This record gives sequence, structure tokens and C-alpha cells, in this order.
Amino acid sequence: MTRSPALSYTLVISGAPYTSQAPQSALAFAKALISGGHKLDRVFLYGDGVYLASSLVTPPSDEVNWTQLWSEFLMQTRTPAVACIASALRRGILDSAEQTRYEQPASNIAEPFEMAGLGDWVEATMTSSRILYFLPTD
Amino acid sequence: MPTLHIINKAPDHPRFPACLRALAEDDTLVLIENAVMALVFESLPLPPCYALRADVNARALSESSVTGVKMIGYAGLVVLTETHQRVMNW
Repeated sequence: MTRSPALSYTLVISGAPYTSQAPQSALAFAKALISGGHKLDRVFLYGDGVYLASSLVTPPSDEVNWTQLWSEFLMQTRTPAVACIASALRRGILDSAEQTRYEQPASNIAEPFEMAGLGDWVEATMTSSRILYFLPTD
Repeated sequence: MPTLHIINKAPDHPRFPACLRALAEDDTLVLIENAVMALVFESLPLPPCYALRADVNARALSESSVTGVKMIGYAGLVVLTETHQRVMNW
């Protein structure tokens, strides 16, 4: 079988860590697509998926810290990752700009995640060859 | 254009039969996460499809429990997304 040319992917994660398997499945898929010679354009967190971007996630020491694993992967692969700003703000995920704007006592977005609007997702639908959604299970 | 359907919902979720109904002749179905419970859900007959091995093993299900269901790894799932231009996540 001839190998198909490299594709570009956007992954959308809308299931939260610890209540869904979405961040875990998406990470395994992300690693596999890169191993397969493809490009990961961007990771987009939407809905409850934005909880993955909280730097304050503190699981027990014998459990996986999905935020940390994702952060490490994103930085190693230099993959842009954005949290939908509308989803993030109402779930208490803020960067320093939003902290200032809303006069909140702290910001907590984990590196290298950034806040962006749905326009980023719209752009992804136009530029990536494939978009996969990692959804909640309920 | 054949569509790759990827479902993560358990077989007793309303999305599951909806997904099965939406399958066209040349489409491909992959069971991931809780959807692999369909391997032991006898009231819902499965069409020929794939199941993600990691999720089958994580739930202690037998890889050979249903004939017509092929086990794949994440690399295999990537290959299916290469060969299908359209992907539908349920």
C-alpha cells in the first residue's frame, strides 16, 4: 500500500479531564499522527475541555496529571493550543489579560495554552486536512 | 465519499443507535472509549467495524469477543483518518 502524503490535523477536545477520557485519547492520537509523519496544526479546547488548561489541576500523586502531560507534549512539539475564551472564562480559566480586564484575583492558564475565540476554530476548519473531536462520553 | 465514523458513547447511549443508522454502505465505523462496551452488549448487533485495542484492554474485554470486529491501535486509527476525507465524531 502506498503511503498517503502527510496531512495536517486539528484536534478539538471538549471532554474534561477526570470526567471523560477525551484528553487521554486525544494525546494518544496526537502522538500517533506525528509518528505517522503528519502535522498537528493546533489543539483546540472547547466546552468542558478547557479544564485541561488549568495550571491548578492537582491530582493525587498516583494519578496522571493530564494538564502536565499535555503541556509537555505541546512544548516539545511546538504545537499551538488554544482554549475557547467564552468556554474558559465562565469555567474560571483566565490568562493575565482577562484577569486584568475582569479585575480577578488570579490567572491560571497553563503554559503553553492561549485564549482565543471561535475564529481560530473556523480557521482550522479551512486550513487543516482533518479535524477530529474528542468529546464527552455522556 | 465514504465517511469514517468514530464513536465514544456507550451502547446504551441514544447516540449509539443513531450512529449505526447513519452508516452508509462504504462507511467505516470505529469504536473507542466507552463504545467498545458494545462488544459485550448483545441486544445491539454490530456491523463489521474496528475497535481501539487500548480501550478494549482497559475494560478487560476479550479482543476476540465478536467476529467481524477488528482490533486496531492508535496508529491504525491514524491510517483510517488518512484514507477517509470525511470524519464524523459521535
